[in-house]
Amino acid sequence: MSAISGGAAPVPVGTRVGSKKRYAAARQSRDRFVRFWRRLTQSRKTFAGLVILLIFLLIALFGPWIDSQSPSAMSGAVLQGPSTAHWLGTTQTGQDVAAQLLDGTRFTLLVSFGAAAVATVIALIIGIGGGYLGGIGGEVLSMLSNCFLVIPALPLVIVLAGYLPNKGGISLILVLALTGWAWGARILRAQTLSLRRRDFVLAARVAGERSWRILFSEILPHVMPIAASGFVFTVIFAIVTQSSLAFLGLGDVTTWSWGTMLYWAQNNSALGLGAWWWFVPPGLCIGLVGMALALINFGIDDFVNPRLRVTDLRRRGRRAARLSVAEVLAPHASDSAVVEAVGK
Amino acid sequence: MDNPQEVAGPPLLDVVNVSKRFVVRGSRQSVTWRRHLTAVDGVSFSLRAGEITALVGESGSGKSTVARMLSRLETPSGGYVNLHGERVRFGVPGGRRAYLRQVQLIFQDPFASLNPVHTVRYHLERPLRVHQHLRSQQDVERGVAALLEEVHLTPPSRFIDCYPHQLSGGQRQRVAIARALAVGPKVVLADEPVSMLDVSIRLGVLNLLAQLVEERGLALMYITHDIASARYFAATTHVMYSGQLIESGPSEDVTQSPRHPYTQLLLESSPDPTRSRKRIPLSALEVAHGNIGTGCRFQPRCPYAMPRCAEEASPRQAVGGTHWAACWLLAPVPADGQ
Ligand SMILES: Nc1ncnc2c1ncn2[C@@H]1O[C@H](COP(=O)(O)OP(=O)(O)OP(=O)(O)O)[C@@H](O)[C@H]1O
Ligand SMILES: [Mg+2]
Repeated sequence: MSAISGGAAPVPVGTRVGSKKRYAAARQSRDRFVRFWRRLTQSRKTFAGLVILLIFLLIALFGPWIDSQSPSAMSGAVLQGPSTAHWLGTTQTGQDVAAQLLDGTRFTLLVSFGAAAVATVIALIIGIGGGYLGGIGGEVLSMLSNCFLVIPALPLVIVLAGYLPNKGGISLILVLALTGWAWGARILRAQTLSLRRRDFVLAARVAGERSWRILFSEILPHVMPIAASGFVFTVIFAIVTQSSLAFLGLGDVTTWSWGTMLYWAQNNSALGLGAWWWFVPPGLCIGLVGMALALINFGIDDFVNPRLRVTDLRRRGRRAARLSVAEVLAPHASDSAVVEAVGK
Repeated sequence: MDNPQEVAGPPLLDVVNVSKRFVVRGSRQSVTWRRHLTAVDGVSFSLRAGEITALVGESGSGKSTVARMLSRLETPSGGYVNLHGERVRFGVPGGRRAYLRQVQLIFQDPFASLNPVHTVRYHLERPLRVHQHLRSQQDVERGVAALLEEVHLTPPSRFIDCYPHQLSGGQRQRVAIARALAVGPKVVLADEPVSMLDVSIRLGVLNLLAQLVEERGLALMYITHDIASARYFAATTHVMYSGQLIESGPSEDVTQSPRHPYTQLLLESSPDPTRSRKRIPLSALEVAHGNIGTGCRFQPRCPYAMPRCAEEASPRQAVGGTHWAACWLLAPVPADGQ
């Protein structure tokens, strides 16, 4: 984190020499990202989650190149188990399950990540905006998110989906975003309410900053981990809800997603026919992605959890403690690091 | 600083009869159950260029609330404030920036007043851009370096890219001071600027503030609960108790011949090396800030309380020069309330 040269000399605190001023801002945000990334991947659980998710994202991205069969094309090979011709076997109408899975992965992830992105933006605007500005407007926004919070999501989605003139990806994203933003908004609002009383926010006000600048520059960086955690949860919510909707036949059954695969498998009594290769893969995918996202959230939790985060003081204390242990074990190995810890 | 009797010019900032009432709600958020807490009650004083004025009082006496009102973080519930003889319009957001260009606040806790996600550079360049309208990167860079030098963080290049957590408490407070100076203020309110710092570096920060007052001709309000430091640091001292000023005057007079019983207790309990009297722990002075009604607020704890004190608070009683105290003990002998 710093460019402290080693040595026993009483190195002054924070000896971080500003070399190229032009790049200071860029380096600043890069530093922050690198620190975030390092702490995120520190835990093995989080790392595993990231790897699993990455595999799914690659599948979604390159699906058609992996298996070029059409997911809807029928053939004479009906209800066959996995083979080299059909990696995951075929359906009752001779469609290739692997091709459906690849196509479905793309659609499912696109819709869930899209819905989570829209929901997170809504949550940020309503949560932070309402929390910081307060007053009657803030109360109204808070009430709005509480209303959405108590409405059971799935029935609402079903009702909305039933009235949709078009059942494509975009409208699905909007429906899921509309039912999934309130939880995040509530947590962001609570966080913002405590942040706005903090001295550094008051100091920015005394420095003459405008409200929007305080929101973006002083408060937003502090709620980012919480927003990220909310995003991850909303992705899980969107995958599950979307699949339930499709499974109930309320989605567009001609678009391939994990949910529609389960819908067709159920409609053709795949379980009764013992065609496990038809319904296990989409179910497994839902479970795996859900697990990966939950694992990633553990890493973000490390950021959000006030007990682990608290002030820099605590963190400095922990780092100093860790480094002094290292110093005991290898007195000369971490010279510069020790100077850094002692210097602070 | 050493000649408090010198005739000063017109006040820069004139605070007249300012009050602040907070609405305190009960744990049950009922509409009917509300309590008002008067944190500041009819406080008047003025700040002059090149002069340090101390505001002394124990915890909860309303010192920070005064500072927050004067830095427009709170709106007074009563009274008014004149800046350069002009009435400050608190409710109106319009003049806020122009006002803050004149009046700045230094927070008590330098560990909390700097945003941990921003560098020193960011903290200092924002006010330069907002208030001094510096546009070019070079101008801003030069301005930030000059500010760091002014608060003795040299060489500036060593601190400019630091994050707050890379600095010590004293260095952070110097950055916070530089940030307040960045707007080019005439009045600086320092809310217990050294109370969170290590004892060994307090003097350095106080000397820096004194130097800035001299060089920039600032009007400095020094808020503290340490009355002994007010004596050495400030020309004038106001003593605050439970939201009211109860004694004020030249620091030397107030600290060497305190006239209000509360000031006397405060001085006896403060660790002043030049005195060697028995020490009364400050906790013994702690007060229930209850509704005293119209009586003196210190009366429930006052060793000299008289029946009169419960009925009516004393007005300011002059005790020579600009020194006064609000206590019936000082009333003219035929105490018929003239
Ligand atoms: N926003 C607020 N709402 C309700 N009460 C408040 C608020 N701010 C301050 N108070 C109350 O006003 C009184 C004075 O508080 P203030 O912070 O001004 O005291 P202080 O003299 O600065 O004390 P300290 O030395 O501890 O900083 C306290 O009783 C406090 O609880
Ligand atoms: Mg205070």
